Amino acid sequence: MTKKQWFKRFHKKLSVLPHEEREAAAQYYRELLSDRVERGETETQVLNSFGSPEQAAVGILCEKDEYSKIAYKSSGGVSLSRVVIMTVLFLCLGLPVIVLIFAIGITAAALAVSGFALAAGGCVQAIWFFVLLCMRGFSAGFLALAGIGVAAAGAGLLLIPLFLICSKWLFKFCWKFFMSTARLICEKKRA
Amino acid sequence: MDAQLKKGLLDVCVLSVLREGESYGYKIMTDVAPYIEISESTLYPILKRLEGAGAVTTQSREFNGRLRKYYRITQKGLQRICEFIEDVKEFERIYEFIRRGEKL
Repeated sequence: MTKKQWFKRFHKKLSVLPHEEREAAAQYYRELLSDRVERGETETQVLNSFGSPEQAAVGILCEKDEYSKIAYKSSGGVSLSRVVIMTVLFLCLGLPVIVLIFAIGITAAALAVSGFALAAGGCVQAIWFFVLLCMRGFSAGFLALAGIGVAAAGAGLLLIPLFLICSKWLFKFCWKFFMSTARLICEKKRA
Repeated sequence: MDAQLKKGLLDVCVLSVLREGESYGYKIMTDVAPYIEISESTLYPILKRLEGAGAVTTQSREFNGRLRKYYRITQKGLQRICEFIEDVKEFERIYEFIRRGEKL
């Protein structure tokens, strides 16, 4: 594992901590790494001795948790006013955020399906009016409708990749939005 | 060794190293290592804890074109070492009492 990869995973595991604390912990490990490399060890040797980035991060998080528990106990638990404030905040901010994330997710899913639906619908229409043309004889109306079906199927096939890309981005955005909201809540909770 | 006891000992060992003069992460670790098992991941929470308790202060200074954090013991840290020594004296008395009981 390279230095960059190690620190990337380390940062990721510590994502629940505020930025300054995360950076301070990373700076500590960077400093140790530089000191040991200057004394003749290789980067790989030092990183191996640190253990996995997850293990290193867990040690920091456990210590942080112990402090949180002490702080929580010394604060005398959750007061009624705090419960009321949290409930109001949840109803005014939490619920709309959940609805928004849900709506984005549904939009992404609908977009992914719509391209296939358009192509399938177009095919069915085209086949149906071609069948009618064959059974009832030539009719300009049937031919036009069959043509529209073919066009819709073609448009659907062309739009499938675009819709899939859009829905993928929407899902990604939805996930990032969810994670950043969760992180924000965790940071406030720990603060 | 009991985890809590070791934790307390490590705190005092780090303070004891800093009593000799200001030091930095890697040096503290190499100075403490011959006496008690310590790793990088163990040292960081200790330093954070001591800093939070006001037993040490920190200062970042440039070294070889990079920043290095130096730790310095405070009066509170020195007092903690004295308290530890007093505690150990008390433990010794208890230890002697237990040993006498063992011989009987």
